[in-house]
Amino acid sequence: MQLSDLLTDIFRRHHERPALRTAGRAWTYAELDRLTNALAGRIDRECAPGRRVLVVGEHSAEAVIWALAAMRSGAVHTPMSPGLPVDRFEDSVRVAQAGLVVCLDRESLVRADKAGVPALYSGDVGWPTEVTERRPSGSPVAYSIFTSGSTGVPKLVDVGHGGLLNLCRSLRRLLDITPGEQVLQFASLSFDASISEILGTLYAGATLVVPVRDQASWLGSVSRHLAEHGCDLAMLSPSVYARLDDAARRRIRKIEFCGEALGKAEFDRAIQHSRVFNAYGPTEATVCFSLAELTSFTPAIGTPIDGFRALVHDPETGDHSTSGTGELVIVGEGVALGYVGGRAEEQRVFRTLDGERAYYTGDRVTLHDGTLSYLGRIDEQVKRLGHRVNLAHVESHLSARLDREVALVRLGEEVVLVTTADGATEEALMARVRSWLPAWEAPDRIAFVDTLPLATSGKLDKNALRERIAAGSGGASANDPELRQVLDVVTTVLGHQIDPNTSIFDAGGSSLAMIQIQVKLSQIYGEQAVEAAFAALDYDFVVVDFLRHLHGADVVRRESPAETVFRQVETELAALRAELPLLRRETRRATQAPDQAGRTVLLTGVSGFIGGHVLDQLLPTGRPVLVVSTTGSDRVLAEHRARFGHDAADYDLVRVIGYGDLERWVDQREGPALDGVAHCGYQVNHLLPLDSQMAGSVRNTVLVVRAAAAFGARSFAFLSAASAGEHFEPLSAAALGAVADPYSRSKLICEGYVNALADVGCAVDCYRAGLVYGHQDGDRSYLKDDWFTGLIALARRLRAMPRLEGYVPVCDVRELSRTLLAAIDGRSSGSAVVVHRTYELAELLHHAGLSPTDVLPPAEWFELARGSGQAHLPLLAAMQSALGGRGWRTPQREVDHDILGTLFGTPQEAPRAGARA
Amino acid sequence: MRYSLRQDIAVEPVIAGWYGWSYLLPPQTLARFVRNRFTSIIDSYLSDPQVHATAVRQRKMHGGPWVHAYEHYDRIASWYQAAAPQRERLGELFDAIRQVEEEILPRYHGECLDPVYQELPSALAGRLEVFYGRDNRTADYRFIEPLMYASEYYDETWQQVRFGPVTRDAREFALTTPMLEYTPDQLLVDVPLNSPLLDLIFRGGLTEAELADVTARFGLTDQRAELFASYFEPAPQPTGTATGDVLEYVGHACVFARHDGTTFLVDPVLSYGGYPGGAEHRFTFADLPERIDYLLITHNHQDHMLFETLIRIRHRVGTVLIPKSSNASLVDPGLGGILRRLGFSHVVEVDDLDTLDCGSAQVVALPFLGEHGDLRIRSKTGWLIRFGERSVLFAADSTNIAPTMYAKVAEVIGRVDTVFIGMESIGAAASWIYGPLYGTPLDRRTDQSRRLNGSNFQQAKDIVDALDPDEVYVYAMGLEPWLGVVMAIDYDENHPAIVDSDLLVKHVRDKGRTADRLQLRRTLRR
Repeated sequence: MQLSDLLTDIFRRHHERPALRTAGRAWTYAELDRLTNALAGRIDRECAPGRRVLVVGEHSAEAVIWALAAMRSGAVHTPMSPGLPVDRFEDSVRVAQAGLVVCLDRESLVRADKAGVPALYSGDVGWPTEVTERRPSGSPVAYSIFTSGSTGVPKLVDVGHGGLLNLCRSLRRLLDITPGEQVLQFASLSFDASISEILGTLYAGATLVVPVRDQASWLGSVSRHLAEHGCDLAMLSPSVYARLDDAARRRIRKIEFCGEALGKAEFDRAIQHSRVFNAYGPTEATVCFSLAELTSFTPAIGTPIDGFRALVHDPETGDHSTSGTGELVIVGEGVALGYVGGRAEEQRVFRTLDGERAYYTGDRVTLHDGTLSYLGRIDEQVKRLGHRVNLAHVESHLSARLDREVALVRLGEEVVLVTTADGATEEALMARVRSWLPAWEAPDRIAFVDTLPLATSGKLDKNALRERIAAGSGGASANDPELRQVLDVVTTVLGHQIDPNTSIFDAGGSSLAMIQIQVKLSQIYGEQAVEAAFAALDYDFVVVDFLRHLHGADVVRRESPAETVFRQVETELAALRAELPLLRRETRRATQAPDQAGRTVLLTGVSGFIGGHVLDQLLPTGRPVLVVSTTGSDRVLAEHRARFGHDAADYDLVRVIGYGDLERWVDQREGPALDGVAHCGYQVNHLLPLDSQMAGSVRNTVLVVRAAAAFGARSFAFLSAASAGEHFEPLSAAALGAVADPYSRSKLICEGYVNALADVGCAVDCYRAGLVYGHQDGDRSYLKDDWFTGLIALARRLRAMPRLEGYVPVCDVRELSRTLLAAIDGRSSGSAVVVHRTYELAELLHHAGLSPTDVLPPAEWFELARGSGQAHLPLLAAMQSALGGRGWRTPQREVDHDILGTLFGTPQEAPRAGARA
Repeated sequence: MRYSLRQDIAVEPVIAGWYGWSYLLPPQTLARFVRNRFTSIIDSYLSDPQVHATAVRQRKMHGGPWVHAYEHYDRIASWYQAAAPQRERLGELFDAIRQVEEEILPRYHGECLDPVYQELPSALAGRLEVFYGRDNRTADYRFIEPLMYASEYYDETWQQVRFGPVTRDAREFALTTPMLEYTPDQLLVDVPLNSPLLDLIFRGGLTEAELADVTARFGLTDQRAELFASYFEPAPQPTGTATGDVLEYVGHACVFARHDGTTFLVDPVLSYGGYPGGAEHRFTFADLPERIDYLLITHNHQDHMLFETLIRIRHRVGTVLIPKSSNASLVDPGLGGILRRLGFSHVVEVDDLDTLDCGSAQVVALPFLGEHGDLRIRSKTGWLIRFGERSVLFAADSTNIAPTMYAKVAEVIGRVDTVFIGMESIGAAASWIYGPLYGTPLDRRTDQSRRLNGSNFQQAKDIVDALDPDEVYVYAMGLEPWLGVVMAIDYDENHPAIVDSDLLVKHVRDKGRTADRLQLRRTLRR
């Protein structure tokens, strides 16, 4: 079965089940079907059938979707790591004879241009919806995977279709994958483990989960994701597993180890929390050749999965047999078609045995009763003191005995044991190691490193390790003799080198080590000076900080999260400020009919509650409106019409585009002339982390700001939030730090970007609105996720109200819309907090039909609510987050009508006490 | 003429050469501490005494692994050499435990555990029970503790006491320095800690013949006998015994109460007398009544279960009430077994919400959460004592990590009038006490996340709000200088424990009730 047919079949079979999920987004199988089909159509338009399409991206749901699209297309899916050096990128494109490169980031797009190959940027394509009739590709190659050739030139493995269905079936059966299970997508797409993650999951009808990259490293993000959400199944290399936090490891229900030989230490750790599987398979055998569940540690790698047989080959006699020890030869349909690139002699690993394709793995195994045990690489066998020594075996043994990761690395004739330092000296460790091993297995020396590096594949990167050890010093940047001197002292005490910016406690040091360091440094710098510096360090020794203190300087404080964000924002803001005048000057604006010239309004958020009302008030003015929406589809207008009961003709002057279209217009410096902008489109979610807000609504806001500059807008009204603060101050880390929730922080950041428009002569108003109500019948659905009305409704059901601090600030949506439109009509009132009326506890009680005796402390109320089973938990969390602050401090009554009373349908006059201030 | 021990002579318990406390008595925990903590202290000291001298000088380093008597290099070196056979014997036990924990048990993942008994190392064979933990897959074990005490690894000849004068309130941290004779007025005597000879000495009023007999039985002659004699003075005239009801805070977590003639002492830690310059009006051993009918222990930390005080008051004590501990694990050795080996004959173990009639009063054991590094430790309880109409709760260091617990407890026990609560809101990392017992050390971040914290303001406030008492007293903060012997806290006005307890006192006072942070001594009711 062809890969594309296999996928089509999968999508049809599971239909409405959730297929793919990442933070805040999910796709059903049906949705993925439509989407990947449309994208595959797009690939087919740009790339000849049978040619390779390189997909450059990883660690995002978007990249997974493009990978699926490439698999369904007529081209050959060839994933490539985005992290390659420039030269390697060009080599790879050349070796692959790529017909098209799909880039998930702009940097790769630039590289692809340089390499002279046609390229698509995923952001430009967006999510097309048109369904195209598609033809089967007919290529014998299902996908190609880059692997490192021995010459350093990239080499491709062409994998055929023959082993795919067996792979899917075996994974489902042996790993016991069931519909609805959550499977982690960890592997880089350029590594073929991703193929088994993706296909294994989808075939079984389970859900593939891509963590959000919200930490500096992907591994850190995954670790955090797992600690928080857990997963049913993860496919990881032992090296990656060793690097997860314990809290993350505990929440993996089933772990399939792959990519590297599994050592006892990792097995012991994993079996405490998870069902443990060990998989073995080279890229050359369609990802997975054998798989076994382990309940106790053995080097067993199971029996071949369907469609494969195993033979052992004795290189000395040339015999093949079905039992014994020797090089593993894989025979079957799933053996890859061959290499592309690389040296000719490398092709010799692919042969034909009895008319079937066979692959000579280079792995030493024992085959007994059909079960395989892994012994190591043939080339990891060394002869020492007359004995044949298997380094992989010794490595696994040592890592179990020492209970930490070790690597045995060959440097010429020398065998070096590389490990992370734990405070023991080289001599002490060597003594232990020698007591366990015969002389011919013992390493010649020990080298300590801070971390054992991983390659993109998630395997231990022995080449990098070899280079690092060969270079000797572990790469300390210590040209400064004084730094060198202090580092030497630390090295003497700890028995290994540390990073000058790392606390010795984090490097495995103890308070004993610290005082030893202090005594030694006192001999150099004098007792008093050193003691004073140590006191100033608060007895947490970091080499660089120590030197600063020794010279009387203050230690640089670690940045707070608000400071980090602010620093990013400042950088971006500087770039934006530089760009806006250029946009305004260089953009060509379309000429318009004389009567409409200079009257167009750009409006966002029309499908939202407030934006809809703004459009409702805008339509009768007869001004042309450019609606920018996330979908970019005219459906927005159909829905608006149904909501407000307008005629189709009322929308004659309204045009809808997507954010992607807007970005293209801005980037191409060509678009319609604008008069004003009302920016109401924003994802209201108090729980979303700031990073997601930054990547979503904030990024959209920056785009709208750029559009305003490019298309000559004279005014810009931004709908901000009262929770961003009562006072308008310049954006600073302190101002950001003062705002509690990420949603309000993101609004404050957006205000900073919006205000940059003042530089190009655009009048800017930011309106910080309170809770906005005034819902009419067609608006009721917007109340579904509203935390405050949800809270009142819940209070009514529970017959209990939490004690709210201060007042609840409320706006009327029509008043607010008028204010926004007045601003773009040139009748600006200046940036302001917009609160039409505040409500105090007594009034809320009235609206909920409760009395003062029904009031509970918030903590108790939330406990009650959680226990009641009546509350929607995410909404409850939003309430808790929103009530976290101090509440609104001043009462207000700018409008006379009872906004909440109308909404709740309660009698007009609530008991009031001093609300009229 | 009759003789009594001078009020300023401390008699410090010594086990295997170290200051005696709960985890050094059971052989299995002693073996862990000797190998995992004491050996590295002495090795580092012997290789570079200057490191220890430097560390001891710095306040921030207090409580760390330092030999305070760093100037006595030769004495420590020769003691350490002489103690090698003892370390070797304990080493067998240590290795056996390691073998069970790291080699034998990890091989089992749910299958039958019977074979384990056949392969137990001889040091532990017949002295362990093995079983699966909660997940039914991870094998665990417990010691049959009486058999451990009966083994060759529990040796009363390793026990000693050290006599010596106390000259001021502040005591030096004692847990990390070998207990040797460092000054001419110190005397180290080989004697089991449960010896009736010690009761004879502490009871006082010895005749000359009795004193001579004790001296001889301690094997003291010549100059050493003279030194020993100098620790005694003519017995003071017995003073009239007070009989009135009283509730008196006497330092740290220690509270004395008398109600209708029955006497109670909670978490005994007392100070010495008879030297100039001590805090005025402090409560010393001399202030104790002849008889303590009920001694109550809240938990097995050295500042609540101080051997030095316990052996000195042993002859006065009727019944000891303690929390029941059924784990018999490394981290949670039985408190009852420890107290019995310490010479207390009448020990009663109680469990959550057990109620006992104790003379004129009623005692209820209350659940105690937290402050034990999330280890599986059951030996901890709060005590509620009902003195007639009034009830007093000793919450010790219980942390209100489960805010609803005290509300539920309140429903069961009814009104509480007075609450004593510990608020050492930022305690030491759990490894400070338990580190030597861990199989594999925790990484620093995890260790630091599991501190031995008492309640912070919010937690204490929730307790107080749930119980709604008239009086709230913050105690057990280690504020008294004599606690320095087992604690190392460096307080200033910005210390979180001080800030938190100030807030609590204010909160309670704002409600129109009585509250204070106690220090040294306070008579709360007569």
